[in-house]
Amino acid sequence: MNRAMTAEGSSRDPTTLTRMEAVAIVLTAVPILCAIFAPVIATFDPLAVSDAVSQPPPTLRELPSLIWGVLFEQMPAPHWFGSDSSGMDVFSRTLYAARVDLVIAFSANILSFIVGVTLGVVCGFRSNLATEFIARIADLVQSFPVFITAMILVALAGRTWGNIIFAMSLLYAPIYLRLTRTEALKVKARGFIEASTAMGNRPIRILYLHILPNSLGPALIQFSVTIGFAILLTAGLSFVGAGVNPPTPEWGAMIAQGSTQLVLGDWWVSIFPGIAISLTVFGFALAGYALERRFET
Amino acid sequence: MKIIPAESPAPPGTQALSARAWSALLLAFLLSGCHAPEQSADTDSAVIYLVEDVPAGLNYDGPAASLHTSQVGIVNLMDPLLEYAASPEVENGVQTSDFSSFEGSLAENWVYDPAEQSWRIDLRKGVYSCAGNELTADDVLYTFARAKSVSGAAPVGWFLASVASVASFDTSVFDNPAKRRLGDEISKLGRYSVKVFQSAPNPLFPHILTSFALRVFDSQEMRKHATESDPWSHQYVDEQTSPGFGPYCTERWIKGDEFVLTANPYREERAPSIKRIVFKRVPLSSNRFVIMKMGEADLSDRLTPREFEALAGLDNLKVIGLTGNETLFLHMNFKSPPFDNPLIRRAVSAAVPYDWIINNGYRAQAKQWLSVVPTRYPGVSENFQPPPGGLEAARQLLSQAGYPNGKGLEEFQENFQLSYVAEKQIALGPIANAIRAKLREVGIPVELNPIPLTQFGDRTLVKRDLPFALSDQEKPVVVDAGYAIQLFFASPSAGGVNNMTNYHNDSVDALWASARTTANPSARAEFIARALDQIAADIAWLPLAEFKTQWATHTELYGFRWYPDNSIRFSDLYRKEH
Repeated sequence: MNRAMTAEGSSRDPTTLTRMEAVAIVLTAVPILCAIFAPVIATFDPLAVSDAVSQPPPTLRELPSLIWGVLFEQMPAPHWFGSDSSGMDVFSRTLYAARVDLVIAFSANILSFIVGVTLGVVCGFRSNLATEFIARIADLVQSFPVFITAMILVALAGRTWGNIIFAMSLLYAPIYLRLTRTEALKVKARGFIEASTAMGNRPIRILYLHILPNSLGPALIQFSVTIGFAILLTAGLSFVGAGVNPPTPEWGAMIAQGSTQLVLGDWWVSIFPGIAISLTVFGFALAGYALERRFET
Repeated sequence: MKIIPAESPAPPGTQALSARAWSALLLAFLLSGCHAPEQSADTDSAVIYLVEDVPAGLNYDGPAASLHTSQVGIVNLMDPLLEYAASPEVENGVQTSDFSSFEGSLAENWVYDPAEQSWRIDLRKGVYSCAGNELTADDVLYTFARAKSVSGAAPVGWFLASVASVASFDTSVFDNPAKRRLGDEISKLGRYSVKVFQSAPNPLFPHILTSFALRVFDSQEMRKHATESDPWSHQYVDEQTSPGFGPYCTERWIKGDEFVLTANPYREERAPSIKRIVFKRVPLSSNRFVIMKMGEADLSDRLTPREFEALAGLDNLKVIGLTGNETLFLHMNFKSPPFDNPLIRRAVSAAVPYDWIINNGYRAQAKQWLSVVPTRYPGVSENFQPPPGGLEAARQLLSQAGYPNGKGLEEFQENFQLSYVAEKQIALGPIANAIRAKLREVGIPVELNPIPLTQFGDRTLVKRDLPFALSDQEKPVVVDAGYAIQLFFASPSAGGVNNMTNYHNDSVDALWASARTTANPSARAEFIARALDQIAADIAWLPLAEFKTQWATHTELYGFRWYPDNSIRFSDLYRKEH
């Protein structure tokens, strides 16, 4: 991707994975696979209300016989992670919640990446009043606290997936814009751009063929990190009641629902989605760090 | 804020009495060593009461009047003229009231004169406010004059007087400022007597005198705090205290944090046993639950059914309560299609999971509501039955309405957003979920829409444009089915006030008009019963559950009594060793 970087070479084989990279791949792949295969893995409809209200999960001692019974004796599946105050299955909801959180996080990130990188590369390549204005607007957006701004935007626009994605894109695009602009300014000053201009290439061609590919590195690393932030933001919005509408399975909403029941001893309603969100965010953060290390070498 | 001095001066003419009272107290104290007392000697201990919020205001004509803790504050600072008589019946630790008979509170005698349609009210003598002012007829006149001024943001006092047909308390006050002055409809007969005229015979008059509104102000104290821009001292009442002739005075009021009451130092008769009440704001019910469980507070309410269930089993705590007038219903707006179609309303009523709501939503701390008025109220019968057959019946009704399996209802998706108060997510969320699941099973495309309390109130009570909602907010505080009809079901043109679902039925309006004007009690009861039957048949509201009004309290605290405003009168309470 970055010819200058790859030309420098590395002491280790770039095709082998470090231990950290392997862990990052597993931690990011598991929620993605859960999201994709949720309908196959889930044992209940995640929105089905039942009479089994606030049931605890089976104990460790019960687990082997239950697994045996479900696999080989046609026993109905129990609530592996217990049930919530509506009698909904926490296991199935935790799986389906991955769909909601990851779809929102990825959509918002892809949208903000496209907008941010495009504007960033243009602002870095061309310096005029319009590009300066765009850069200052980005600074202004970044000066607002992300969570509060997202909450206000969603409250004003309505609690729909589309609005949450739009609000998050608006807040994350300036990150990509600034990173890409800084990188584009550096690339623009390099000799091969001057050479390309001297050869009579049109600016759009130079932008597309030379500036963009050589400015993408930091934005790509940031992508993985921002996915984690976006998942946390989605969950945070739902936790305070400004995210997706109930009873949509969503990790933050499930944690919020369970948090009030912890005092009654119902730990399972919030702990399992809490673990899911922690591991997922950690996985994406680790992936970002691993990517950064790989680009550095 | 009213600070009570440590040594308050005795009201004029009461010094000698005070000395006698002290002697009596001393004697009682000595005797208490010989006889085991019914009540504990620990009479000056404080009660710590955990509440969702401290009173936002104490003005019954103000914007906070509908809030629960504001009403608790008002009823403990101000006494009414009348109270319902106590019933000998005690249900699950709570004494009930006999809604057919009254006892004097600030009034000593009250007599109706049918010839001139008037009530003569004689006041108790020697009743003093927290400022040491004696209750007189001027205070009653001031109270009615303030109500008639409709100067408050929510003129509840005027509304109740109007419901009870107090003469010239009608809607003309809103059009003509001159009509807002009190005339001879209420006249002073002497220092301790007044006469109130009615425009028509109306049995609601003594009932409205028991409510949290129209409680008597200390007019001297109120006038002291009047300003040119606020001649009726609304600001003072909403920010400092509500000066009345009640058992308690405001010691400290820090909004959003704490509200402290101390016993009225000038009250000798009916003096409260508990001398100090500390309201502590703990908004989350789970936090109130933990504090109660740790034994750090004496009293709490508004917990979830599971939290009450968990506290009931603990050693030093008890959970008391009864099915009073708190209800849950589905609101379907007649102006929002397809809810204008009776078949759709019936389909919804057939599909709702009543048993799930009672057994899981309320953990069996509720019963199915089979009326549109609380069934505890006199003359109310169980006249509502959902169509038998459950989901199958719902499907058939949808087919009859032209929407087989709900096909075609997507057009009304916006109106099938089931709204409820987001702040009540813990209690109402699971119930809303269960309703959504069942309605979707028959093809009704319901989605949930939790909205903030303020928005919910604005859209139900002011704009009246909420199409579909789950509500546990409404209760008629006057114990009368006719009052409930006027409040919730009569058309605005027929005097309806909070007709949130835009329900209109000419025969209901006509029956209510007849009930309102007849002097014959049995004819009135008959008109009201027929109106209620019609309202239930039209499913003006879809009644779901009557849930218990409950309190978690220390086992040593006794004397709880249920009043229609669901507020505790702390002067009823006393401590007794368990």
